[in-house]
Amino acid sequence: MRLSPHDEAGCTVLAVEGRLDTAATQQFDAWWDGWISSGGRRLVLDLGPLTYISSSGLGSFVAVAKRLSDLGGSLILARPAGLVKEVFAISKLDTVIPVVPDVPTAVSRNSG
Amino acid sequence: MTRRLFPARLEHLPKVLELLHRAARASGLGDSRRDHLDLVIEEAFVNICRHGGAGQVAVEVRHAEGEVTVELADDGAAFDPTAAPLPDLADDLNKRSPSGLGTVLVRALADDVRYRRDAGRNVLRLVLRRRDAS
Repeated sequence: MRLSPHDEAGCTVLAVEGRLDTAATQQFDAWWDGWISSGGRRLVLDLGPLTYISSSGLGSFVAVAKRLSDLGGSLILARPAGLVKEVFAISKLDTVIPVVPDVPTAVSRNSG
Repeated sequence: MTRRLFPARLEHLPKVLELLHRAARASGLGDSRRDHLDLVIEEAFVNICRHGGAGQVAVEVRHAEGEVTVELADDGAAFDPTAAPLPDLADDLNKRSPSGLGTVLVRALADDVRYRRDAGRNVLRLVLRRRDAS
């Protein structure tokens, strides 16, 4: 898994590439924990390059969404495809975290 | 039929999946169902590694045309994952737990999931079949 963050219009867009399996989730958790500690509050995850996610990754999305909500921030998930989109539907993750089809929509919605 | 023993530790998961990919290719399961197989086995293997103190997992793989059957047998404390309660997917974000979604995925993606306790081992049998859209 590869994480590529950049700042855009008042939020951070993090491209998540490859496989977010149980082992990679530890790396993802460390990234968002550090990002929040350094003041990050508005996050867009660009899931276009993500090809695989297991329940640990889904759980991590729920955890970061909750933490940001508690801190007055927000998480938006952008352009999931294939298996990732399918897993979101099965777990009904899209009913608790906003999911949009493209990054510009996510950024404009999350710019506060 | 292929049978191999693996230590019940997360770093051995890629080797387990490699074994399954050979069976998936030989069975003509299809790419999207192979991804489902990865997901189902990751969830089951991680469960074994994290709960029950298992030392080893015996992985047995069989394949037929359009079908892969995997048996995971571990020497940990008795635990029936098919009896685990499912999280309430209607809960809002505040009530949603970050854990428990693995069981939801396994039940949705495997065609058959059976558990038995056999000679002091947990034996979980999972079957995935080709689907038309694969």
